[in-house]
Amino acid sequence: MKNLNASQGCSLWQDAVRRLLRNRAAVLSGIFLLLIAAICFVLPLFPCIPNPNTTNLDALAQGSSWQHWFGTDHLGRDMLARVLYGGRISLLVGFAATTVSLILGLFYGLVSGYVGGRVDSWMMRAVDVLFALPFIVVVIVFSLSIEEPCREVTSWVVTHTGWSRDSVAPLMGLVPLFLAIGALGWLTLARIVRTQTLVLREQEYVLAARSLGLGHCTILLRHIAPNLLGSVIVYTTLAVPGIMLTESTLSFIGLGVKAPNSSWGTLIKEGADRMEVAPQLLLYPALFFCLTLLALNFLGDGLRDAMDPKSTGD
Amino acid sequence: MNRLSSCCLYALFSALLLSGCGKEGAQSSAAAAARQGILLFGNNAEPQSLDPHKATAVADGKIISSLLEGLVRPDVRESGKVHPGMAESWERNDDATEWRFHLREAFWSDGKPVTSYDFAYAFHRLLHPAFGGRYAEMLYPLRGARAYNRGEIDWESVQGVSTPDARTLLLRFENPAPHLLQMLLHYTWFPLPAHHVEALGGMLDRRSLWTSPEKWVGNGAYLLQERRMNDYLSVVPNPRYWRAGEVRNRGIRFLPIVNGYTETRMFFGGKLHITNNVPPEMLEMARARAPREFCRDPYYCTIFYRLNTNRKPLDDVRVRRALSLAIDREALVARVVHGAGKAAYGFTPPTGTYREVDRSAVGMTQIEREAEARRLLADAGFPKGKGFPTLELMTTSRDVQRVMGECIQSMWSRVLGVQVEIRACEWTAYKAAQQNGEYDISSSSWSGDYADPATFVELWRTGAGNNCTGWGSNACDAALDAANASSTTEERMRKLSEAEREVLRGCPVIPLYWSERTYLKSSFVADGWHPLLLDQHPLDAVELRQTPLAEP
Repeated sequence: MKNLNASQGCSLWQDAVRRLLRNRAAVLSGIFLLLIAAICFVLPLFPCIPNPNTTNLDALAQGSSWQHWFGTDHLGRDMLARVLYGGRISLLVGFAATTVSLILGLFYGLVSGYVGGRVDSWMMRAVDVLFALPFIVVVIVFSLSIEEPCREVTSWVVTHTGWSRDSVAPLMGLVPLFLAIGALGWLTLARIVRTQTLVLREQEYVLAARSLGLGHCTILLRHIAPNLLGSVIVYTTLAVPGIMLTESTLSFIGLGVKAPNSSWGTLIKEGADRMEVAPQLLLYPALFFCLTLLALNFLGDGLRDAMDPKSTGD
Repeated sequence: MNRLSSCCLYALFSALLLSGCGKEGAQSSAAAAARQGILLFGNNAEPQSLDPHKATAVADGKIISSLLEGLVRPDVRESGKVHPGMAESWERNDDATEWRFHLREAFWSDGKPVTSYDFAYAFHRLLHPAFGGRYAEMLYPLRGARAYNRGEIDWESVQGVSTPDARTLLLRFENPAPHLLQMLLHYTWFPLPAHHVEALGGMLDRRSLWTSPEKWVGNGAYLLQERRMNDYLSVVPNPRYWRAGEVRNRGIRFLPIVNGYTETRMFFGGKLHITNNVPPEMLEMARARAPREFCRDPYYCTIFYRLNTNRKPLDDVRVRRALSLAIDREALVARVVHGAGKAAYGFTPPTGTYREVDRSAVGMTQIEREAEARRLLADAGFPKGKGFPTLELMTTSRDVQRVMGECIQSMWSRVLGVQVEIRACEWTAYKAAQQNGEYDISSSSWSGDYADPATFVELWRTGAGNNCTGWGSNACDAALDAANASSTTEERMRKLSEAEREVLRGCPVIPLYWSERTYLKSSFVADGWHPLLLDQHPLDAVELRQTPLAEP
């Protein structure tokens, strides 16, 4: 950062970015994640990737070849296509569910911390109660009970928009999943945001804003929320892998995506069953899944170090 | 979650997979169990119920048959042969409509004698219209049983069962029942400890606790010892069993392992003596790795899809036939089942003289069949699948069924343009949905209860407990009645195949293939287990050796 003009000074954000860029593992992870996202979402648009659900009973569980780079699965479907489409779903669930929990947790925490007093205690006790519920069990019950309404929405969308069912159904089938995971995943975030808000609302600049006669909403959104972003981003990056793991757990026990669509979780399950016979069915999805999780964790760690000046000691 | 813990979680997952479900380490290994004389038996699914009048699954039947004994008991080597069980001897009249059984002096595990009243009580309970036994039609051959089960007459006027004294049971039949002795092997003909069931809630109490391990009273070779949901169910020899000295092992552990891959892996990990099933993809591997332990037996079993004819558009026979014709069964058997079966164009597996198949479908090549399927679907108002609603294909959580479902799903989509969604259900939920008719298409299997085609064809009688498709035809029912009334075997077979032709024409089911039984039998099993067509193995005959056979 030699070309940085000293007389301009630098903001906290620029400092954070500088520290992040110095963390080689985090940068590599970030690049890797962008790459994974690109190949999962962009590559399938090209015709060289076959339909992941087309079976070919004459080419079962084959090894790698020029035609099928990752080989074929137990029904002759192209493994590369299945891994890519599975990655789409896994990443989508990871990020969509995180967004749901981010929005919920952010607002809940902000309101609770800012208003304080009795409202705060009640809101936090509600979080405690929700925390006490067994997460996976509640997610299962919740996703099963909103499955039927979601199916109706799907058929409504198909009949009213004329989109093909093939493209709508796999995504709509996931809505219960990320609603369920998201709706229960915001608790920790709400606590983090609340504590931060409790600190920030006592700051002088908030006092100044208040004495200038600004409304509560403006103070919350313009002055408090931006100062929370650091910890929120860190938490979110670290939450995505957890949520992807939950999705794969649910898919693993048969509650996630519907066959024949795949996610990395279902692919790993199918591969694990057949690992003696056709190891490539386990190898590729597991490799992609592990590397993505690792990259997300490295990036999250890097962001945390970068956002928190004390932890790096520079 | 930090990076380490997510890695750990994954490692844990793989470790769990590798080790199967075994929790007790060395103690539950096949060698240790063999030393103790305890048979470790892979039993496919968690039993639905141990009450013989509530159970319908094969897994339940295997446990019940070790806990209770009927009038006769099965042979170790031959499916058609029976030995005296609770009945010491029996005689029948010339046309086999009246059978008189003389019971031996035997005792329930609580010391009370087994009497003919216990049998009559059991039959009464299963047939009671208020009890709602799913398998009641197994007893329909008894005179007056069907009328009683439908609430038309009362029990006193049922002539089929009478008990001249405590040790004599007289069974009268509507029609000649020459194959009665084989039917008697099925648990619906077993007695119940009447005194005990009465003491714990009475005949009609469906929630009675008499089948719980603490309260269990039986007359079979084993006593219920412990039941842990989704873990195991163990039985120990019954000291009051009349052949107690001839029980060859010192207990059985039934392990409800649904996943065949896990089960096979557990076998190779030394945690099982006899498995239930080797999944198709592992056949080659299992055969190569354990040539002496790998077993492939003929089996009286059909794999098929039930179609719910109460739902649109499956109420149209043309739609049902189109769905059936569009499936390439040869490819299915060769590629998905890996040859462990035979493509089925009829419902009943062919045995002896009986081989009924869907003649209209057999002569055609698959291409012709597919063309015919498209034509039928267009006739029904869905040319190229346009306007056809998305149906739901319900399967159990068994992987083989799911894979088969995905394969057929893509065949239907390719040939007919028909979309189906797959819903994999846990076994009890699957069973309940099927019996309440809450499904579109259900992936099913049926294995014969006795070595006679009637066990398959009788399923499709109008309103029969295991029909579950809402389909029924007077012609089929009439042919079944005629078959029951016929006096010669040829006549009976002719009538049965007439009934089956009626079923195949109405097409409430899509037969897929006739399965074989592929499983693994450890070399710890010394004797007492031979291939049986009906898979009614008397487990008390299984003998374990202390050390496995040395490699040749």
